[in-house]
Amino acid sequence: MKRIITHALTVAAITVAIGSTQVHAAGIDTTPSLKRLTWTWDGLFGRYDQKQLQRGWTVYSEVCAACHAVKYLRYRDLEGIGLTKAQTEELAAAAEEIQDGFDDAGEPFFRTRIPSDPIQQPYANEEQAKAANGGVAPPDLSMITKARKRGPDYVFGIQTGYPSDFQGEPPEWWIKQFADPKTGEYDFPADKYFNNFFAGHAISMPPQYVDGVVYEDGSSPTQEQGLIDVITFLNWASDPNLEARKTMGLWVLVYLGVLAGFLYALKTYIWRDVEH
Amino acid sequence: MSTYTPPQWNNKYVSWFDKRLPAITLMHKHLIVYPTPRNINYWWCFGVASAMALVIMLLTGIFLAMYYVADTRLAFDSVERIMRDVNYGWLLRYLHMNGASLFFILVYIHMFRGLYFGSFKAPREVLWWIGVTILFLMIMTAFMGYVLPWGNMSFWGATVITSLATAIPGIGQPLVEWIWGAHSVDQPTLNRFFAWHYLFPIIIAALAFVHMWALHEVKSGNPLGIDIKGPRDTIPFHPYHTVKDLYFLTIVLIFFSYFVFFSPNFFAEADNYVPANPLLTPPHIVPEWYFLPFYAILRAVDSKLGGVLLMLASILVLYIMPYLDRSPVRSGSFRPLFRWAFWIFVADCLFLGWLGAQLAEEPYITLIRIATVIYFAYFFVVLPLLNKYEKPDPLPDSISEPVTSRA
Repeated sequence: MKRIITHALTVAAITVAIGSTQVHAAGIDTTPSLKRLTWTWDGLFGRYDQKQLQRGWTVYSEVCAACHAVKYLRYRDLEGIGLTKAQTEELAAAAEEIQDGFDDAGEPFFRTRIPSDPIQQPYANEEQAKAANGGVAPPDLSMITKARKRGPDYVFGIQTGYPSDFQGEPPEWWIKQFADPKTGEYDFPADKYFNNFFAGHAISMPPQYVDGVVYEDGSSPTQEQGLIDVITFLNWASDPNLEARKTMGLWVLVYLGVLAGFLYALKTYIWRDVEH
Repeated sequence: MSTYTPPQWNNKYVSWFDKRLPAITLMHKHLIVYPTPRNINYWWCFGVASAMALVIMLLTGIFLAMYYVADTRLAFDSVERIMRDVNYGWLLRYLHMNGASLFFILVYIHMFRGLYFGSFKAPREVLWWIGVTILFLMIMTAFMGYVLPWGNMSFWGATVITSLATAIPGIGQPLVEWIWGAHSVDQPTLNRFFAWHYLFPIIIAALAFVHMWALHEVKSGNPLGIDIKGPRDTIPFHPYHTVKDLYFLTIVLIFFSYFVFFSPNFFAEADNYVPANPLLTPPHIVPEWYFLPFYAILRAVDSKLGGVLLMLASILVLYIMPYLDRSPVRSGSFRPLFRWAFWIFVADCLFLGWLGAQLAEEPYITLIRIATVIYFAYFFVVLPLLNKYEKPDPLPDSISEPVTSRA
């Protein structure tokens, strides 16, 4: 057994050594790297802060919701961030009416939203979303932190990754890397913003600011705090069962841990007389 | 080995039933008194653990199928509905999703154990062949299961992998369209993949029983790789292995639970949480981790057909293991040179897995070629040569000899 492990370790060490030289040889990249942030829901005991989720919902509905839907959320889901049933009813009723089939004359039938209806979306359909945004539909945000690698860090990176507030202005390091060395000319779409972390760097979304947002307690968040709050809300939106999952997980681990202890003791006891 | 004498059942109902269908005697023979070598270690627990993984997959899968909708317009949303609105749907889904990874981890370790300890050698060839067939079916099942959520990686993975069939000269294109049921991966494809994904595990479960049937005929191998020579070498399955297996399964479940509850998307691709979009190719199409070594081998040569054949060969070669490794010594522990070759082979498989996740560019292509050559050289050069030139260490006389002399 010991021999097996020694062999395995030696061979593994060689493999890692080969692998790591390759990684270093592969790339000289000046692209800024995505900052690794810590989030309240990280780790075994990670949880959401309900007040923060509600602040995040405020930022979402006052800033992001102008262009981005959260199509998998219904008003009733907001009870999960600590809103009361009455509050979700109020929010639903305040939203635009929703089409619910057709009336007797065959005309579209509209009615007031109730909590089991989806949260109002900024555009009626994909085509409208595209038409209003230069041909690219803003992505749905109810899955965004799951649908991108290192999602929460990525969203933070995108929002803080604009070297310039204006379209068609790539930063120095990018120009150095991609401009024609003789003429100094480069090819970057004039109607797009430069973003450090967006694939291909050319993004349609202008930089967003939380300036006008006022929280329930009357305070206004700093840009960074507003971002952290809204990303927390979006992470909840893509994973609303996270807290239930982690709570159950802890009990499962405790149960299995104790069971493993008992079974190990029992195994040792049963095998006490067996030479093996 | 003494021949089995069935017990007299005292309970009159048990006795009545057993005379008509000897299920109770069967269980007594195979789960209670079944003789197992006294020296088998924890590497021998990965078979039963794989069986547990299969059961987890079957049970969660049945319930997921009650809510899943195999319609290209609804499939993605129906999975989200399971995650959000079905009671404990997130639990079922994460158990199933991570269960696939667990199943492959356990089966791969189980197979490496077989390769190290010569578990494919006489008289266990048929047992081994059934096992390799199960691996084949698992690969197909996992591939089709990955398509069902209809995420963007589902769609493009399905497109890339099914398109491999076009490499077959002449009939390639019609064949792939026959598999798709359309001119691209589309509604008919999704529908039939769902049907197959439900069918194949039933065949796997059936083959698992045949696997155990073959096992109980020839009995378990052991770390010394020598035959059972008498009752002194064995212990009954119960209580010794029932308790040992239960303990081991609990450890496996702890490992599994960590991922299910605390890092459920560890093995997943972010791109598969983006709905399938035939107009938007993901920048980097990668299969699930358990296919990566095969995916690397697929890209080892410039020709598409060549790559497909190599990939198939990399699995098919396992079938002829009994004829490639003809050393009469089963256990790697008594083969000083083989041991080195084996661990280099294991490292090569892991390296291929890492390479499979890299972009198809230099230096990875060259490295893939080197690793692929090492992979096949292990089977076709190293093993036959070792059998000829290696001088194995002396084997103990019996299983009980080394343990009793140590005491």
